[in-house]
Amino acid sequence: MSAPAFTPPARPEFLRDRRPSVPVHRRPVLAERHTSPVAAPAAIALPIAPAVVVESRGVSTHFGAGSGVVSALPIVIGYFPVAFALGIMAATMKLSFMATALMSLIVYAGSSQFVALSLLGAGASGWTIVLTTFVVNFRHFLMSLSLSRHLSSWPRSRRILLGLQLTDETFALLQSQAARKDPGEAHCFAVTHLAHASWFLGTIVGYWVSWLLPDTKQFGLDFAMCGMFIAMIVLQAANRMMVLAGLSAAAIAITLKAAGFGPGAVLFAAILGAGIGMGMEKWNSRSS
Amino acid sequence: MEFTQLLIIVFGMALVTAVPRIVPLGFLAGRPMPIWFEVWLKYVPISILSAMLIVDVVWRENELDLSPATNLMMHATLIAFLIAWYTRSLFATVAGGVIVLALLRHFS
Repeated sequence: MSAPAFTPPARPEFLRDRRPSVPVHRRPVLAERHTSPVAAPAAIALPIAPAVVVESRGVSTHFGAGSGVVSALPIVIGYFPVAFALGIMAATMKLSFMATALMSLIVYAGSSQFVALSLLGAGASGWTIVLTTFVVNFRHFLMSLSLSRHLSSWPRSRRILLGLQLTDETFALLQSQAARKDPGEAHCFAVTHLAHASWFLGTIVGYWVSWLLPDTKQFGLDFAMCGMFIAMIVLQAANRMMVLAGLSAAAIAITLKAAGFGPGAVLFAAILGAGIGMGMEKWNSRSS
Repeated sequence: MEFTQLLIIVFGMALVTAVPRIVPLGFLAGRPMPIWFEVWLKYVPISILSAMLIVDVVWRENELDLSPATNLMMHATLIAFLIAWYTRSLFATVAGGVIVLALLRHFS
């Protein structure tokens, strides 16, 4: 199977964004999408998410629950061992099973759960743990904001439900798909539910079979999430300013980390990196 | 630590995690925003993904590890970038990176 040609994020979308006189919810494309979600001809549906959907030979090239399941596979495969490790960690700390499972179910934010466990182990106060969780997870605000531009035709209740299950990985995937065309509720919820289930089940299984202590690292599975980020970064890197924003954010993140900045490093790096991209774009449009 | 206290912490964590996730999607979608803000927002995904990636790759065991000899993730990252660039495929990138890392660990 040959790799599908890559279609960079469509220019017109970006041009539309610069005209605030047209309210987002009245954009013709979105309105049409909302009334006939299934009727889009395959020729149009095909280039939307070439990296994910076209690979699913046999599965419809339309967005739907099926394409969601296929898209979610790398996340499901990536989440399970990480959640497994989380479960092991909680079990070795003798944390209650109920609390561990509940955390994966209702907090559902990987890195902050690991941080919370290590804070609990260090005997930190509840306030410290909750506040740290807030700082670590506030980056989801930016992700939710970014995604909200593409899904504004959805009913509010559904947008809120999707927001509840927003993680780094589901965001990376859904944003790259939604940036080209609204993938629809069935697709998006198939992705988020499966990812959530994988995380939850991984935690439980890890907790109960912690005595097995398998070294998941030898399989290189801890790279699955990184690989996913890399693919999404490359898909986003449509021009020099995008690349510059990404490189700046990376440089800032690592500088802040090395300076002992702790949990907020990624958030601040993302804000500043995007600011540099914006600055470059303004500067370019002025000088040309 | 008491179980009820632990439960309160977990619910607190859930609350402070859910609110930032919900507010923009639920209450800011479709609102007109200043142009500069929309331009800035366009650069948020790549910035946030890059920041998360670099921390995952070079921040090992609470310190910076830029040594090619000990940090095998860096090699896998480089190769995964090449795969992503040429194939534009999510699956090939993830699978390629995982295989490269597993092989590197096996032979080192």
